[in-house]
Amino acid sequence: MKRIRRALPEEASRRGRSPDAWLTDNWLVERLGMKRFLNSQLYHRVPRRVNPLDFLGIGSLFVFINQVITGIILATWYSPSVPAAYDDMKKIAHQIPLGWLVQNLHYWGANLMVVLVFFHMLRVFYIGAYRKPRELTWIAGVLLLGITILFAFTGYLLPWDQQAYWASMVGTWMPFYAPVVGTFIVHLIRGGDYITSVTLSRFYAIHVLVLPALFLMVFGLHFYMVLAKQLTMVEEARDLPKRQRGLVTFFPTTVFQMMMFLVIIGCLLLYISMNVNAPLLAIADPLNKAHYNPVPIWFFFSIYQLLKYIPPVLDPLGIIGLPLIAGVVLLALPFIDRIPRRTPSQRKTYTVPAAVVVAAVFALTYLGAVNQGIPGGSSQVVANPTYSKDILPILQADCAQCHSQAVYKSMGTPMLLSYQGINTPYKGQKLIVPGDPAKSILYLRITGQQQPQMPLGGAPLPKNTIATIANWIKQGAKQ
Amino acid sequence: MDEEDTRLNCSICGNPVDGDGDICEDCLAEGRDQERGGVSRRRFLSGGILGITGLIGVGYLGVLLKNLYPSTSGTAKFQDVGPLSNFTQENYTLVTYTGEGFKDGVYVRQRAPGVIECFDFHCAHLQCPVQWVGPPTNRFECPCHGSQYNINGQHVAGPAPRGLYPHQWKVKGGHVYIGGQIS
Repeated sequence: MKRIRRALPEEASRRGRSPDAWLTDNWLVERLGMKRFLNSQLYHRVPRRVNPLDFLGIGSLFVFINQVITGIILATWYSPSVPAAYDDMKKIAHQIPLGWLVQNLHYWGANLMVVLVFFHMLRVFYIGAYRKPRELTWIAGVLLLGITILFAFTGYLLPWDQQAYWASMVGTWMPFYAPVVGTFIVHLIRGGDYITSVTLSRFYAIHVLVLPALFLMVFGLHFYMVLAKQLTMVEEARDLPKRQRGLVTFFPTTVFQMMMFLVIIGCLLLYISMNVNAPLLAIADPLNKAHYNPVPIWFFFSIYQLLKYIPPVLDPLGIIGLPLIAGVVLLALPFIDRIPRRTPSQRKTYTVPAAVVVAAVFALTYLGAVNQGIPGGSSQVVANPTYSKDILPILQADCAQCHSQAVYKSMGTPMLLSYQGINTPYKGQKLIVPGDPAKSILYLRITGQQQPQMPLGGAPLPKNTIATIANWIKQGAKQ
Repeated sequence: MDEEDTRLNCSICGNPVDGDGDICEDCLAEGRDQERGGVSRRRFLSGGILGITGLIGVGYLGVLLKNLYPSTSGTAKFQDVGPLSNFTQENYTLVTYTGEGFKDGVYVRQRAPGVIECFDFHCAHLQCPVQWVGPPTNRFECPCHGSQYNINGQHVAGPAPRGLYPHQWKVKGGHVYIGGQIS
């Protein structure tokens, strides 16, 4: 097929007939003296084939802007003090117009941003785009990942619920394992021995003042480097044989494709935010009367889970060493990896170990998510419990005060401390219906679905204990 | 403007300088600026610029750290947590210790008549709240990574690097008083 060569917009623009005059020939561009710069940025050729993975960076930027806008709105309604912070969260969610949506957009945006930044980095690593002359772009990118994680970490405490409080208690204790300066750092972060309203103010200041300033500075460098050194896909286009090169230029074709990608990201974010509320548990209780089991932020699941497998002497290595090593290796990567080839299969020395590490992080994150119990501990969820081995000890520890043989005889309360007793209907109702926890009075009472909740007047049973009892009933309440 | 007017003279040989700076290329090429001995004006000024910048930075950092680092906690006061008869020998009772701006849980039992044993309820591993499991288990258990401590607070299982942190205590007028944490 014969193709007629049309003039590229860049050439047309140089000759004074700009095809996008509204963009490149306006008052502002003239004053800024940026016409040549704009032309070079907008009208370079790009490969015709698009890969959405190339848009993960602009996707991260889009979500960051979402965080800025929703964050400013939230900051106008929120005061970082105890207990106002928690009440404000509730007020934003239930009373302020569209407050729930802003809150959810911010919450899910934060999660999405961690994911996008991570995959953006993975993609850049995979195609080896960090090599000379783009080392600084990569280093700034690694710093941005770090800042993103710090954003999520400091933001996590702000709702001041149980989850926030205890995850931060554990998270801020981690530097304790650093040699020499450990305790100093913990006290500096917390502003005292524990998580208090002082810590809340600190995290708030860091979250809304320090990190945004840092982020914008490092992002400025990152973005400048991208513009100055151009994207690797532009280089690829230059290397292609003439016939395969399209007449496609960055503007408007690629920019439009980017917008399409952003629309997809935006829709996804909006869809989740409209359907799933950001969790808010009970207000933070430093005494933990309800036996809440601390759960880390999901992107710390991998470290949290790893700590269960490694011998305790290696804990400082897992808590301090690994993240530190990971950070240093990432920063140094463009200087270590000097293989000039770009495809992953040509750089197996780097891509294979990286694939193993990423797979391990994914696996540990998954295991951490599904397995919040502890190995070997008695408050672990028992998968196949029996009455005599697993259930009776629970009942003896938590229910014997009111449900023993003696109290049964004097007060007529259900007798739970024998297999026969627990299978005896009370006032015509079965305490347990083997196979169906939802119909078992015992289960409904300990979960509070039927009031009054048991143990009467005491703290609810730990989650894992309740799960064990549920498993026992589900599997037919074996003796 | 005439270019002759703006040119500097070399600070060493006195000839006009072509490029930037105040030392001509000839002098630089022959290293005459090094030969003069002592500190050249150039090095003195550059050092000054860096030094002043550094001093200002260190000053601000010092103010920041001094301001943000909490004052040493030696101010923990003893608090009445109830009559001696509230605390048994077999079981720990969780009491509230109110410090400056925070509340802390302390497990207390009466080890022998008039003798108290008490531990902070934060696990020594990563500060999750430990739970006391009474007889016959007699253990403190941590729900996070499974650290276990015996009735005397000693570490017996799990990843904790040490036993539970004890608190100061005293008995006065039949009441138990709990003080600050002993590290």
